[in-house]
Amino acid sequence: MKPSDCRKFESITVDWAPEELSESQSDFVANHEKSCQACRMAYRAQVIGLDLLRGSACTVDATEISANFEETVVRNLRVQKKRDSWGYWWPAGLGAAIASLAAFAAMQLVSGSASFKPIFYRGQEARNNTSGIMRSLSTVREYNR
Amino acid sequence: MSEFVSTAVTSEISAIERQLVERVKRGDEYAIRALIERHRLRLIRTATNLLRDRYEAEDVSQEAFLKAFRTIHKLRDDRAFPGFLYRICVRLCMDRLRSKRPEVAELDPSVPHQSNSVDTRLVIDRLLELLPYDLRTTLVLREMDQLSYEEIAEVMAVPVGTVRSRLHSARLRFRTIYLGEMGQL
Repeated sequence: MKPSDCRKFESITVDWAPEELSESQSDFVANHEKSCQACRMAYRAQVIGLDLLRGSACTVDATEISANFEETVVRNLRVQKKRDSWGYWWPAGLGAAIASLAAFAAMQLVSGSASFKPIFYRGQEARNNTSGIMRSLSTVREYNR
Repeated sequence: MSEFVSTAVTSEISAIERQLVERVKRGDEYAIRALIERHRLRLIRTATNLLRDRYEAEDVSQEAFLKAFRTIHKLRDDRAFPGFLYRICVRLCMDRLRSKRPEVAELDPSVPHQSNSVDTRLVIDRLLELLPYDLRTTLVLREMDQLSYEEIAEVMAVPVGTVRSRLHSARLRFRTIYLGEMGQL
């Protein structure tokens, strides 16, 4: 028994169902099964496993389906259709437009208000203070001399 | 004769289906309900097979219907609605599986096994949980939903070659895990 035979056996048995095999393939499989225990076990496991898999296929009856299955789909579809339409979103859009207008107006009010001038004066004051400090420094220097 | 009758019935069904889809596009709620009635069983079955959870499967199926009806105007061929709906459902299931398990867990040997037929389903559930979501989806669609390679490729939006290789890997891993699991019993 050659390892290449085991590979060939595996390839044939994995890819084809027993009824799909040609005569020569069937003969090869039968002969190899007799001579190689490992391949025989693997093949049987595959046949039994796949049979169990097919046997465990779901068999749902119409009576087992939840009563509101259809209704849930139709209701969700109605909701989604409503959401897709402009009619659903226009109150939110209007609200957003009003809010952005209000925010814009508030910003305009703030930038044009009296609070801007003190900032300018504070800057002027700062410059005045700086020149005062410079003057004090020069006085100190003259005193030191 | 019976073949002729079956062809006639099939074409009649697809004509009804097409009419219903046209009416859904116009917003007819009765047609929406009729389409849900026609397709919900198959959708829930597939979703349950993939997710292994009935309640989650119902949830995903409802989501699939919702998504399908919202995007139904994209459907060019009205007869293609079942495939369109099924694709959406499988992809939603894959999204759920992907988000559920970012990495492959190992079997926990400390968990006791009971070797009776009642537990077969649980064993299968655990085996499937050990497969990565793409291999698991391919295996379930092939073995449980009996889809062809081409159909799986279309549903999963991958080439047929990828389906073949995924199925090969899935079966190989499935049998290795199954052998390991049986060895522990």
